[in-house]
Amino acid sequence: MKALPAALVLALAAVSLFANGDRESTLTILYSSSLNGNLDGCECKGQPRSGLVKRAAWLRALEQPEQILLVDGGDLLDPYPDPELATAIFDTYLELGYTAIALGDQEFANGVESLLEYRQRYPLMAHNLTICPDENRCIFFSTTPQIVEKAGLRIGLFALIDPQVFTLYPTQLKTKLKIQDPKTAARNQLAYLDEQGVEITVLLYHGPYQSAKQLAEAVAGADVLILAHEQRLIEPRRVGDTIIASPGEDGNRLGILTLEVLAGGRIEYGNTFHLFSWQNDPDDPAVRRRINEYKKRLRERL
Amino acid sequence: MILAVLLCSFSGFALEPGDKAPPFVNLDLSKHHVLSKNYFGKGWVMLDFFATDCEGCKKEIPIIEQLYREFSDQGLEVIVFATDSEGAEVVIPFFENKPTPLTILLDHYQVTVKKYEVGEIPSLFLIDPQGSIVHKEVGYREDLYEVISSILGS
Repeated sequence: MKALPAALVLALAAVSLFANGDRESTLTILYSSSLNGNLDGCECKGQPRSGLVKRAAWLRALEQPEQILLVDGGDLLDPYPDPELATAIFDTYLELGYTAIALGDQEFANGVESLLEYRQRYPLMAHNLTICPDENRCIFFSTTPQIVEKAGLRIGLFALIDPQVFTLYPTQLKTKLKIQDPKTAARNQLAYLDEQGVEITVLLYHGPYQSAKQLAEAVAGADVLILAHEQRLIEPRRVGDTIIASPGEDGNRLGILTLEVLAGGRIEYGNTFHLFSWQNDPDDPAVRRRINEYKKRLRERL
Repeated sequence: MILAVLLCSFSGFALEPGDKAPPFVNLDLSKHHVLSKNYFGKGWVMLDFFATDCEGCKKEIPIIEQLYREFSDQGLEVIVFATDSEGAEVVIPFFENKPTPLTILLDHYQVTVKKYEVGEIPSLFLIDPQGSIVHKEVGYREDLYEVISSILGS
């Protein structure tokens, strides 16, 4: 367990190489994505999955977790309906202290009504989505961006879902959704956060890399864009002033992005990915118990 | 206990009857600024949050127009906030096809939506002559006329 916080120490040390100006603040952002329902992992020849059970153990061992921003880019759930698994995953995210989770298209797996319940209970976000579950009402999935303080910095967070992710979904679902153009929504939310005096802005974007890149080129103001949906690892890179990164497939990695906010507001960054191993990393006992209970109920059902 | 606190935190804390109505400044369809201070504290005000592609919102408009016709001589003012992200581009054609006596304001940046902590549309706020919210409706209801007229007529 001692090795776990050491990964963070290394990341911070790597970043200090960049810090030439007057160092003002350092913020560590831990980011995950695309768990795809893998509460547990498996060897799964050719496609190993570490499972949330490993990530949970690592996260619980962190020192001063309250100073770290923990976010996810979405697609936590399996694409196939499984309400019990969904609850087990969301409850684990809540316990681990995730500040924000972008809504992914897979979060619709258990239906719109279930999703609206998750929205009440978990920190799910999509600031450009309106859901009309029936003909009497339409629900703004998220309205106001979240503002939190971490490491002495005022941080604004919001999430967008790209309309393209619903291309293959049934019309029955699509007619219930209204998705605002992500660029327009980003401008609106960034203007709001600017008025609120935030120092760092984090955008969780659920959609293709090309769309995220075009958004970052067209809309200034997001410092960090955490991407998910395409299940591919994207090493951090700057597009305009925005740092874009994605930890890739099956929730196997946790991105560790460290931002140095220098005098004048300029941001330098360092990043590393922690790749979890189903075979070698320790289980989180609480999540293992949750998995065992889930499997027991599953067997009973079958 | 911690879980309970966390659960509450995602439910939001929307404005409720008894709260003071937050001020607003929005553009009308002629691109003139409309300020809440010209309405609040002068008489009854009804605020309706709407979108042109929201079925419940569209069903509600005739009821609100009926209330306006009936109570405007007693000082009732009605303001409809069009929350469509496309703004005037879709809102103007909509009301050209369906002319209305109501005051329509654009809230395509959802600034007033945020101030009123509106999570669903239609959402309706009835504000008394002292500037306090006395009634709130979320979602369409068929008996809206009876509910609001009973408050305004009492």
